Amino acid sequence: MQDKKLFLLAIIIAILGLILLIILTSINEKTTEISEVKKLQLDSKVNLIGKLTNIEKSKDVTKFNITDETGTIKGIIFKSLELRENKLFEIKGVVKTYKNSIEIHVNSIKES
Amino acid sequence: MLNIIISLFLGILLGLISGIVPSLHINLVTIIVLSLLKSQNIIDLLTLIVSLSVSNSFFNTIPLTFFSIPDSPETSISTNPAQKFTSFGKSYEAFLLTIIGSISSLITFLIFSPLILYVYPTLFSFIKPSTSLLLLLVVLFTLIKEKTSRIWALISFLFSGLLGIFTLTSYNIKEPLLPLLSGLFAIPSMLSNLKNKEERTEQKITQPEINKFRLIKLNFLSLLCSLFSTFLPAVGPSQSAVLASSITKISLSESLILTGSLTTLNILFSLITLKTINKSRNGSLESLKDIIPKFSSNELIFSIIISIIVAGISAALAIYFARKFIKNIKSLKLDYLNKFFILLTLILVLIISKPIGILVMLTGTAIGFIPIFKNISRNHLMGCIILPVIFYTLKIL
Repeated sequence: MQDKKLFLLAIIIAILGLILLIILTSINEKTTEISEVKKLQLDSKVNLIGKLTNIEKSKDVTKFNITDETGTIKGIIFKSLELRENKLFEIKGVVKTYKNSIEIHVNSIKES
Repeated sequence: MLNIIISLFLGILLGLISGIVPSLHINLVTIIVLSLLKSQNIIDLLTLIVSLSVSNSFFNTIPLTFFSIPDSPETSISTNPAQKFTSFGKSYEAFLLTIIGSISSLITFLIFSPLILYVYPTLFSFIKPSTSLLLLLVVLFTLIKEKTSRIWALISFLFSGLLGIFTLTSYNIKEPLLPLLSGLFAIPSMLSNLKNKEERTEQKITQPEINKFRLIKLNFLSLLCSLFSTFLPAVGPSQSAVLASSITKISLSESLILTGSLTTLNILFSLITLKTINKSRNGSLESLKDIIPKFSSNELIFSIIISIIVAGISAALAIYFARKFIKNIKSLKLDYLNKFFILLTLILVLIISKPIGILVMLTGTAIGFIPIFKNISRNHLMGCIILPVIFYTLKIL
């Protein structure tokens, strides 16, 4: 195949691949229950929905507990945020351990 | 003590394997190792991870210099110089230049590390508020410095950036860097090698001629550029090399020294940032935070001592293997080797990142072909990390 045709094919695949990824990543995000989080490997990404309690805010960090029907887990985000207690939030983060207990290092959080 | 020695050599062995196999990224190896050995002693794990990271920075130029496969953004900047050396039958010399860069940068780092440790926290707090602006400036700078086609450089940056955003923010893709970096960097090079079946020039063992004053100047320059890049997340050795080459004119051999130097400094500076700001620029060293929440001065000194020992052993081993390669390169079926690495990458991605990882890799491969076809620098593909970081610092993501 000529280089020009190959190049055109590469551009088409790149555009189609990006479109497919947008569709797949937006429709296929399943929520994890908190009881399931403890069975996951460290550094696994999770998408949780839960109520926030015991919110503690400092200069660079906001800590809280996330609770759903199956349990409670600690969450930490390295930003100072105004979060409303007992409201339902959609949380995306990574499973980590600190002082031998599992917690979620939150990447994004929004009220659901 | 015996455990430390075993961890050190195991780290070197893993660094060698992850350095030679183009798609086997050091972060992935670290995650596998830590999940298997998480109950081990902290000092043993620290030794293992530091040895793995440092030795990988010595061995990861093997695929680049001998097979023209840049397996990561760190080494992609030297694809053209390495290919030119290979076309003159001097791939061993090219490899030796990267090793000289690595070793000499380690010495420079040791001389300046007390000063860097002292001033780093102040400099970091001064620069931190301007991170997103500086990142944008670095991107603009690398685009302007592109001589062949700025439009295609911008398209490469944006396409790889979009791919990075969807891949790194998705919660369905495990180990997203594996399909992302293999797709953008390693696979296009291997496919391109398969397509261009030119007669391979006979490779000889030749020694580089080095101007000592230029070497000192280059080391000092790479130390400054590496220091600057530590303040900016996602800016790695390839962008530092563009910056360095804009400060002084750099020859082909010097750009290979620079590659070795910047790749090793990237690891060594990660130890400093881990101690001073509790963040690392390197995925494998960042994972140390799970084992050691607060990296102390003693752990830093221990890690630097391990780095010196590992650098010496790795350099000797790398030269030994390179000589073996040169003697046996004629009998090596490079076509088969390329096909084997492509197949291995496909299997790894399918097992670890699942079918969606294959889609990321395929899209990445298509984007990775843009710089090859348009003959522009591959460092624009670092948009896959830089654009998500810009969006994150601007709180768009």
